[in-house]
Amino acid sequence: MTSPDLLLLALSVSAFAASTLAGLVDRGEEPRRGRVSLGLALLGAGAGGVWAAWRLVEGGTWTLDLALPGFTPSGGAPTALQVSIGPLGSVFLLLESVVGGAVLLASLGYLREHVHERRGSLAGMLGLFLLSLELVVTSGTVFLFMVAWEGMTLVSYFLVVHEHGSWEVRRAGLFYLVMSHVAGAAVLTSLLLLAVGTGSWTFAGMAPEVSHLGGWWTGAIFLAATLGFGTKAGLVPLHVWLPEAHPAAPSNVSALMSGVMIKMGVYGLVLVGFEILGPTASLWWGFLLLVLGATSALVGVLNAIAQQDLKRLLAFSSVENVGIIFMALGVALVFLSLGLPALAGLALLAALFHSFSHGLFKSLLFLGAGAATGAVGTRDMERLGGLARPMPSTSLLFLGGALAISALPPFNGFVGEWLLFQALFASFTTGSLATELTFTAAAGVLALASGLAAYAFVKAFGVSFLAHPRTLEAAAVKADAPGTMRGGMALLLGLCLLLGVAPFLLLGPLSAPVAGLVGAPALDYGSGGPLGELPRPGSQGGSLAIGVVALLLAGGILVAWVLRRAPSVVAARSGPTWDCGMDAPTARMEYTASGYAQPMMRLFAGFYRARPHTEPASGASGRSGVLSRIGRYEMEVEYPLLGELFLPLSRGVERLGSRISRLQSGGIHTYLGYMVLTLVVLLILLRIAGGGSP
Amino acid sequence: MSLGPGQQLLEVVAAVILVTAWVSLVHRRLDALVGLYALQSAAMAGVAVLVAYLYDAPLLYLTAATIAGLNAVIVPRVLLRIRRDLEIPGEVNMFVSVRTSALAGLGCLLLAELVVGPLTPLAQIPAAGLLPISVTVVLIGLFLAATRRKAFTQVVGMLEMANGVFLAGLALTFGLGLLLELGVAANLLILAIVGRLFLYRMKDSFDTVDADTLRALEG
Repeated sequence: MTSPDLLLLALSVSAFAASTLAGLVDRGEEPRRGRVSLGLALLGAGAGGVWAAWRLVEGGTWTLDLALPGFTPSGGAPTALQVSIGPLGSVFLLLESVVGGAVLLASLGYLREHVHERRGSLAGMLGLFLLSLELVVTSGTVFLFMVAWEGMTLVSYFLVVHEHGSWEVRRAGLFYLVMSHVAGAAVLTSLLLLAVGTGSWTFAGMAPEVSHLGGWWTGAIFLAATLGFGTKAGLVPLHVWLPEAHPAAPSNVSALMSGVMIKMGVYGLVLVGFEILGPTASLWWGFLLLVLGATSALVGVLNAIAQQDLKRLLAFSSVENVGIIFMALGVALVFLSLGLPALAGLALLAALFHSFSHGLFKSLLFLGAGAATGAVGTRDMERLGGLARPMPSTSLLFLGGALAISALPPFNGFVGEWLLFQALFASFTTGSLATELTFTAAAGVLALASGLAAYAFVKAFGVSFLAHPRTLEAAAVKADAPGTMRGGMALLLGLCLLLGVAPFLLLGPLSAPVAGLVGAPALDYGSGGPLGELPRPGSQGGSLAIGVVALLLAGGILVAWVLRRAPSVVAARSGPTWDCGMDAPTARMEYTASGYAQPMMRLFAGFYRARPHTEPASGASGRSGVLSRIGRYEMEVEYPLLGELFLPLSRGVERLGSRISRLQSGGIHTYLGYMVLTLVVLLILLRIAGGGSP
Repeated sequence: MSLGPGQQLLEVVAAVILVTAWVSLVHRRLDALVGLYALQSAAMAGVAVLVAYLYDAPLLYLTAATIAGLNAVIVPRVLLRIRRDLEIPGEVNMFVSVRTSALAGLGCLLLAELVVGPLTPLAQIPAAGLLPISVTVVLIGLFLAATRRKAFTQVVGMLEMANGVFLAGLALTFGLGLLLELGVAANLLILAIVGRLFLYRMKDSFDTVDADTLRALEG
């Protein structure tokens, strides 16, 4: 074969398929099965990554028709299969392969240490999951896309319920499946509307035809796409499955789901909203996404602060980051419909870059959380603590991820948010008052969300890893995470740092796809070099070269280190922590997770609708001396949105269901009777409708 | 148009298929139902042989052999053994009287003739009216399954339906349908296996094969 594309595609797909078979079918010894399966999947991810990089270098779109005469239809048939990978798909394939590879590497150790049953099948399903993800971003037709999309949902459902012994896991899995099902229906609606409207079943064939569609038609397509893809991405108020499913899944699965799968929602929306419908974008689409994104960012981060469960905290933080990404998409759409492609490109660049960044650091954080919670045996942060001593590498890596997600330079989280800020500030060049006001408010929301995210991650890291162990289980942890887990996490953190210091390594390859998506003349974001400035619109806004910042930071750290080493006037003494004159401090006196969250809980009391419960200590009442005699303090936090929005909906469905269930007599004969009736009615209809012209 | 002797023979054999389907509606013995099914399948194999000979489609000999072996011999034997093993009483219990069933069978034929008759020119084998017959057999099989009480009769009804589908495939695409026919044959085998499993499990759980007891499972 002359084309490396075909070779790499075949290699990647067959490696994933072999991984699935090895994990699920092979009857060999379990641990070995898992290793073989993961190894094959790693090969698949490697081939996928090389392929994606090759596509980005090569540019353009590569298409392969899977028409086998006699088996699958060819050409423009609705069920034709076509693999097609363009610049947009390559970006997401690269993300999938990089994060997937690191997570698979970490899974080698994770499976051995923390998964106690059916390791082989978990590994095999991971391979299948990555295969479905690869197909999602490389399908060129509606049919193949839907097959891959639903396959991805189903496989991820089975991954979520891997530890299905517990009732909560099964409940979370069912919840996830139902939400994804509705999302799948919305996605299908959107794509079918597109196909019917444009008369083409391939994505490539749709784009040139959309200009003939009316505003109502494209609006309906966009709304359905937002509903479907937004649910998968975890956009408020469709995010409710996310904080249930992520904690229930094994941690390596959460890492993949949060790092890669929810980005497929972003991919889908960019595909439909920009690549296909871009030229017909209306102003309200952008504002819709901006408002939804800003809401998600705030709701996500505020909920993250309130969580006691480490993985739930991370899940809510994913909602926040998806919110930021959708804000950027909204901004891009607004600029696009105002006829400012260069600015739209900047915002879209921010969205894609942040998708990539979030994939890297969120999977890192989930792996770190998996190592910590797996070692202690609980996800409750109040029962962790003091893990930095037995697990120094894991703690350091988790800290790095926390810094990155808090958007602190020199990590990559900073770059995406900086670009988004630049795009928001650029609204003052549009001359539209509504846009200026909205974008200024959005910039405020973004700043608030970033600050609160840092607050949440101080909690996540500080309470779980620092201070003394809060429980005997936490104190019993002796060993750090296995080498492969640390290796996978180190790889991710290294990439976070690399993209933070030299963002041009990614911004450069992204500029061509982005320029194509917004229809702008070639935008070049990659010429800055490692010490160059980040792209900024026109002469407005500030300029920033992260490489320089990183050098300054490194220099500062070096100076501090030298000063510390240098002989000082007063010799440093080390002694026990001052305990306010009480007995030696115990873990009970540490800052707790709920205590840390208190200031924010009070500040945003209206949002949380929290109900504190206090109980006096047993056998004592009133106060004595300085110390309050309260024995227990608990705070019940309502889960906003879940009750008000979804309960009436689910009750309505139930009522409808009970009405329909009268048809369900339970007797098999009745059902067969229905079938006879249906068949007869259909035949009669056929006779009436088309009888004359055979 | 005038038909050659081969085609006339084809019509006769096709008529056997139709008649066996209709008779299975009025019979009251389970064993007889199985026998009728075997006869019907043998006629199916005959149709396949005739079509293969008349229209020069040698692959259909293979199909005919499959049907003759599987549908006409093995599946009926399995069914009879199931009935003996499970000690299923030999009579057919009906929800609908014999007379109504017979009329319904004629209704099926009428409907099929009305709806599919005009489509006959589309079929590869225009002479023998195979298409309406196939639809009739499908409808009768489904009707049989829906109006008989025992799960055993449901399995037989489904098998007859499969024969009808098979016949339709033969009539419409005899030239290139080997894959389809093998698929249908495989389907049939699976149906027999699933039916067998279903009956044994049901006997195990409810001590009867009266499918009406499944109402108790309603949630």
